[in-house]
Amino acid sequence: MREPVRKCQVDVMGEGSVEKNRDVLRIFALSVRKILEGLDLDFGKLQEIRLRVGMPLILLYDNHEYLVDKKIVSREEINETVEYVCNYSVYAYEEELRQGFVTVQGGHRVGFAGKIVCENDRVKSIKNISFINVRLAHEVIGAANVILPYVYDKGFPMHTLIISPPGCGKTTILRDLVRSVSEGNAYAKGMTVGVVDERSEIAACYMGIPQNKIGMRTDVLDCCPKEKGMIMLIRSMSPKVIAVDEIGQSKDIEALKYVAGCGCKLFVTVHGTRLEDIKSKPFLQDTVKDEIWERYIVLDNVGHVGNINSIYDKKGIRLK
Amino acid sequence: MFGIKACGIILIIVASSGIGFSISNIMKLRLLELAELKKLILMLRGEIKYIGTPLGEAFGVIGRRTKGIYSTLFQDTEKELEKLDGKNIADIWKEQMETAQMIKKSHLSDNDWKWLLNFAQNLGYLDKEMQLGTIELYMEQLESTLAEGNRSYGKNSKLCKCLGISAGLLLTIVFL
Repeated sequence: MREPVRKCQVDVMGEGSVEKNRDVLRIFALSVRKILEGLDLDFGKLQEIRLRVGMPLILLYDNHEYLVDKKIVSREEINETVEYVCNYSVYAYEEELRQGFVTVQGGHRVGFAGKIVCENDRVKSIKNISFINVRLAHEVIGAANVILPYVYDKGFPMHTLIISPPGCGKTTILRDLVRSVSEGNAYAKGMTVGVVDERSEIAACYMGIPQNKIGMRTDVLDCCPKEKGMIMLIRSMSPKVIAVDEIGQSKDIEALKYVAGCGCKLFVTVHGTRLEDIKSKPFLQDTVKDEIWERYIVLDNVGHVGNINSIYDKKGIRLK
Repeated sequence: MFGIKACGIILIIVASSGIGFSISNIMKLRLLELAELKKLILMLRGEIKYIGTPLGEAFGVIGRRTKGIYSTLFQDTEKELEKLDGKNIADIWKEQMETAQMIKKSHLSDNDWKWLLNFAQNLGYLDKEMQLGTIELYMEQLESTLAEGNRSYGKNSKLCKCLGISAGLLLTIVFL
């Protein structure tokens, strides 16, 4: 169903946050950028911008999809956008392109699809990029307030696994949880937090400096593989809590077990829709059986993105 | 009368010798600038090969590390690249080379500039291997230009100086 984008109301939001999100327009080809600037968008509600060669420009805005009137995206515009996303330096983003996405300044994720070049069963590169999806990161201060009472036990944080489908706010919740634990809150004083930010989405570091609010006692390993980063942080920064986003591979789980064995607490997110999904995941199910996780927090987007669907303890007993 | 003539002779010899020495000096400065450029391109290779720094950032780092004539070119290019305003990297580089006042102060030859312009046209494109290949190719070009320049400098420098002095003496004889 075609819903043309019309002039939108500018919502009241933190000015810094709006400005930061508005900056994302810089990565688009000049012609696309002018159209988007002309829409007077509320960047707090803008979730995704999709470009496909020969197809209309599509926005996901306030959970609704909109086609931008009469704008058909051309090959040149896609190429120009890729050039800007990679800062004119495709070589510097080889690894990210292999994974299919690049995180740009502000923590926004730009996904690519096109023709995949394989070598020895390994993705070597991606060429003829024809599809781009820009997912805007939203920093929501206070998003984790609801779960704070559940992640502490007598003032000490607990191993927490945040379970959420894509696009339901797990990174936003994790980021705010990191900020709150680092700064201190009503349940405990501030403590050292280490973040392994493999995709630069949590802290959104630019030139090594976090662009998001992640707390004054937080150390960040930016663009570092999770399994290596967790162990590096333990050895170098002695954090009380380590936070990582989107675990899933066997090597991540090995590192998690190592960290848990070091007396350091974990805040981790994973893709899933309910606790049962985790129990059936090949590598994660061991951690559930071993009762490593003291809290499971399940998110969905019922009513709003980042809705807390349920919270469980380590035995799987529902607390909320 | 003799005093005036003597002064004229001295002036003619000094002026023509000065021209000879000046040409020789320009040749020397060109070689120094080429050597500096080679050093900067080596730094660029290091930034790309070992750190994977994007071009804009790498240009900025290099520009800030040199005080020579290339500082403006590299730093201004970084600023232009950050604007992301619809130009490709070759156009930006060309513009910067043309607009930078340093060109007027530079002692590089037209060919040296042409090579530098060609070098930038393939930057940023494709993978790291391609970048390093482009840089290697340009490095080879620079090295051969430098080697040739050094060879001809030894020979031509003396020639220019001698010609300058000789021309001065010849003019003196003619005017006398």
